[in-house]
Amino acid sequence: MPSLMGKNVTETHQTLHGFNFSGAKIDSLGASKYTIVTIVQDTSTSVGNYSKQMEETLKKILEACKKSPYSENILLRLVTFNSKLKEIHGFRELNTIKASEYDKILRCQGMTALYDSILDSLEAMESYGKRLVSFEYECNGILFIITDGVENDSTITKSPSEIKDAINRIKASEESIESLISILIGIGKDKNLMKYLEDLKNEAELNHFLDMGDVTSDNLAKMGEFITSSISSTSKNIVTGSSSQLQF
Amino acid sequence: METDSYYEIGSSHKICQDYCISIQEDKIAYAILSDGCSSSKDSAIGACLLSILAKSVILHLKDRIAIDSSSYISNFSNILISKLLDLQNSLNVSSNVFDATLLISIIEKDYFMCFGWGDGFFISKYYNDHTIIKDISYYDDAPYYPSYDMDSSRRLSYQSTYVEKGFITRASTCLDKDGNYSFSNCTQINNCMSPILIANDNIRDIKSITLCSDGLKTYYNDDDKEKKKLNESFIIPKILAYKSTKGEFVTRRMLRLKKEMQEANISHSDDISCTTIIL
Repeated sequence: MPSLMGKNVTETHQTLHGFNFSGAKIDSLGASKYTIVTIVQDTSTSVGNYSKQMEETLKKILEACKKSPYSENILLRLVTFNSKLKEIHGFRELNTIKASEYDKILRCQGMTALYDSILDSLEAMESYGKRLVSFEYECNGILFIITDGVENDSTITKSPSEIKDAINRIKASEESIESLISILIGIGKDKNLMKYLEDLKNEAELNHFLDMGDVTSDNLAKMGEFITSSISSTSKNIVTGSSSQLQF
Repeated sequence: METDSYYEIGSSHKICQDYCISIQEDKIAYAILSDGCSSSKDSAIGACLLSILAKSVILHLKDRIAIDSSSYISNFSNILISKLLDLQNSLNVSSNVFDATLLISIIEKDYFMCFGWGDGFFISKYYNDHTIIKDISYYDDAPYYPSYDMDSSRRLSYQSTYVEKGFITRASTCLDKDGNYSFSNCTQINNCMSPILIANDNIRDIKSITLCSDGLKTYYNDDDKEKKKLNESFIIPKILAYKSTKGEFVTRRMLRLKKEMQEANISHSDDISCTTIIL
């Protein structure tokens, strides 16, 4: 069940496969163009070893995005997943999110419902994007899935092909977001895991896979900078009509 | 109240010479639109400067003269021209830079007024969903710009060329809630060399007021070999069909409309600008 930030300013919806999500009330949004961003963070047991550092990284991403010239054109959703999915907050304008809301949010226990987390995020972006477009907002999207494990506990999504179907549905729709970039980020030093995740990216037709390497302060910082710059670049594209590429 | 503005370049222009702003502040809301003369150098910048100067005059007169006062427009004009002359001197430019229309709508307390120099559209939408469109046009498509008051020789030249020959037309058209013509009338006033009062009234029954430049008259179908202009009554209801009225609501509508027009192979040759106050 998604957590609501405030009943008066959010709307909640259900996606095609019954995932729940929330977002800022469409008629409360002031800009004409938005990038909808989802960060999906693994909170399986193994992440517990570095959950504090990960929380700090998420806070730094938030604060850095707030400084972007396009910060007013970004809507951010944060989801965590282990055996269950949890929406920390729905699609919200950055200036309504305090970094302190990310304190102790990563309760790391359980397995890894990776497929469900990806499908949930894609369908939420599809659905919310459709709402935005129907109200004449221009909209693109970027999705980051951060994980250190393999799929082992999804209940709704049975295979990567369902993820691929969702991506193709979004691409084909003229009523949803203009473009969507999906990036799977693997953390850890297990080469087999990275191979698995790269294969998943290919099967599910996600756009990119990034091997962040072992959990070190440097690597987490680089990951944070990559996510921030990618969000900024994507929002610049929708606001200015440019087509700058992500820097890997 | 909500306000928003939008302007975009026409197909026959290299730079956009339209500019508009709209602001809601404590106790007052106003919208300002300026359309630079395409044959005057740097009038794109002039249109922008005129709008900013007009804003400063509105704020100067706020709490000094009520907008429903009979002396408001003349006071406005005098202060604006004085500021224009100061600016011209400090920039060391020709008055031609400021060859641009200037249309202003102000809402203060329960009253609104629209006045200005030059041609364009004033559109008011009512709670009964009727829309009144006032189309202001000048003889020979030669509007009187505030810049002519900066140079006596230009003022005399305008007087002899246009004032003695022509008139200003104010055509009012009413559209009902389905966009059908309900009535229209047309008044003519002698072409004059001062700002004209376009509309004023109590705001009681009004939902929104919009200013648009005369670029609305320049929509045409690309597939039409003759490039016949489409009637503005075709485009105006579409401009006003906001899905929501928060934030950049005019911008959203106009960007979507631009896409829809592109898909229908419809373009506009002149720049268009549009600024709305939702009451």
